[in-house]
Amino acid sequence: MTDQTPAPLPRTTIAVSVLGALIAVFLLAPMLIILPVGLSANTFLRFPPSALSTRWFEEIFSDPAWRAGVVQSVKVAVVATVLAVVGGTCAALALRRLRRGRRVVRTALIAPMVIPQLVLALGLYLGVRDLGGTAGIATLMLGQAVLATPLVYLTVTAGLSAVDPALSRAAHGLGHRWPSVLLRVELPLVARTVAGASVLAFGLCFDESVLAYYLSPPGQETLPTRIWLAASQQASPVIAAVSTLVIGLAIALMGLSVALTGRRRNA
Amino acid sequence: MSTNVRIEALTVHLSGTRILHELGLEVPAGSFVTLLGPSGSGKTTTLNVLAGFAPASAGRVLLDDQPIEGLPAHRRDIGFVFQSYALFPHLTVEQNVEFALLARKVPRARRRELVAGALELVRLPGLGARPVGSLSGGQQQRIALARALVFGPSLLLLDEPLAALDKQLRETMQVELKRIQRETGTTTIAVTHDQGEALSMSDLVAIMNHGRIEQVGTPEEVYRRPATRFVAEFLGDANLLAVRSGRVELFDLPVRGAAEGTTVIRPEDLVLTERSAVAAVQATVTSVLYQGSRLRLSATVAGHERPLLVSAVPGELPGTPSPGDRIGLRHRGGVPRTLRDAEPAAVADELTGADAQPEPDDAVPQPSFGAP
Repeated sequence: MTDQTPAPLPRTTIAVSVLGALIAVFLLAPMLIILPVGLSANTFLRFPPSALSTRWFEEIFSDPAWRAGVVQSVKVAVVATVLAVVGGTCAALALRRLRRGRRVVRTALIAPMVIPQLVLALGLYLGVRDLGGTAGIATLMLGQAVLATPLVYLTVTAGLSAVDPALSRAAHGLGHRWPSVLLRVELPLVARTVAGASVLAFGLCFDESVLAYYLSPPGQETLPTRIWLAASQQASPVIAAVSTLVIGLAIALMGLSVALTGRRRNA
Repeated sequence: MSTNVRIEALTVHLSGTRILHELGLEVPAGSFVTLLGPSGSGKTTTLNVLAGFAPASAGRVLLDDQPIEGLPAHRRDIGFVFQSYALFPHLTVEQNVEFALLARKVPRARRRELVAGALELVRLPGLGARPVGSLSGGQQQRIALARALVFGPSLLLLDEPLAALDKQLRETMQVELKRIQRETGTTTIAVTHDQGEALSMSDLVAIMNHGRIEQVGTPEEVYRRPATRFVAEFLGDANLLAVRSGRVELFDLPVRGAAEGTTVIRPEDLVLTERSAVAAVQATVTSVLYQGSRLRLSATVAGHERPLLVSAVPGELPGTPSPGDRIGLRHRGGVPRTLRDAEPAAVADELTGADAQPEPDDAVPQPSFGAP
């Protein structure tokens, strides 16, 4: 079976190829427009730009407000990622051992993916207020962790499904209790998947804008919120430049994640 | 140092289905016992319950008279060799073998010694630093054995130990498994669906069907004197013949056991003779299979619906029969036994080791290892 060459797919007609290309252009065009606009020498958002320069990219790095946004985004995303990776990985490992009720727990775990983020934001805001606190940056970190946990859970579960369950049993049979089985066998075997999942989670949190918009206190905005605020005040090409950087980062993170989870050792 | 194992009335239900039904088995210390049965007969479940990987619904498991059914898997001190070997892919051979020693807080120097000893035992010294992924199937099997034996387990469990190997390697490993078991003297329970494997490796074979043990005995006992029709048919080819008034109808032979029923005559117990010979059963050859050392043929007998299977040594025949030849068949000698139906009561008898008709060699043997 394995060394058999796969049967050739039916030949794609030219029409289907053209349609596919058009759809790809439609999906990617906004990104392709953003880059030249960011490189514009104009003072206003305009496509195509009349002259090119890197002044807007330079401005991002020289303007303390933008720099603060980047730092804030990284801070929030790192904390949220750590929480989500710990939670999602634990959930994936634990659910493998669950004999009953696996489907219920699983559904609850991936629910944040389908709940509108606005509802989550409002819930967190009201919840924290009712508990006597003030929704702040910590609430935002928690909220983003909730959003990223299902992603981590699903990625690690997929990685675990390639691990022979007999390995865990073998480790138990050889005299190891579960924490030891976890540390010596299960975690090392999914380490790469967990690393890939963390990268994805970081990307998700870094770009996240809905929770960030509603929950970041004034003066502590993350990058997406700052873009939003800037866009609502002025139509400067700096917005396009920032967006280009964010898209570039997202693509880099996706590539890193694929590189981490895609390859298998000793397969 | 060997441990005896007693399983008492072990019952297992899994999601509403009964997998094991009041299974009982006595495994003498130091012996090699094989659970033999078709898939779904409950043999792997039995092994998993012994190892602590699956819970029992009722019943007891005693190692040297100590109940272990309440102990978690990591406290049972049982070596387990998985069908897939389940070697840890992220560790080297040495790290795999010493895995059990890490849980037992064995000092480093002693660990080295024990690992080297175990690799010596399975005849793979010097492979320690290799990643397990680089080993062949046979080598992985040996490493899995070394890993399961390195801590001196009280019991060794083998789940279809040879199923993943090709035929030639399987025969080599049968001999090796026997040797290793003999050298360590570890009480061993293996599971297989291959009757040849069970007969050649074991001191005792327990034939399982539908979550019950149908018969326990030495390989020769279960093959030569199967207790039930299932055992007779599962262990090789069998001619099932009717018994009426205490005699095998077709050959007019006396039988042991019930006066009415069915008995089994193995193909090698039938001898080809001249058609005119006295007391020969007249038969017509329907097919001939030359197998080198044996000649297998089937022959029809008037009034008997199933053809009789005959296994003969080619050199002992005056000539090679061909399909359509009319031949005579005679029983080689000995007294066949009437099979009994596998009813719960009958099974219960077998469990306690008390056969309805005790015979001298029906007693559970106490094999002694170390003596040639």
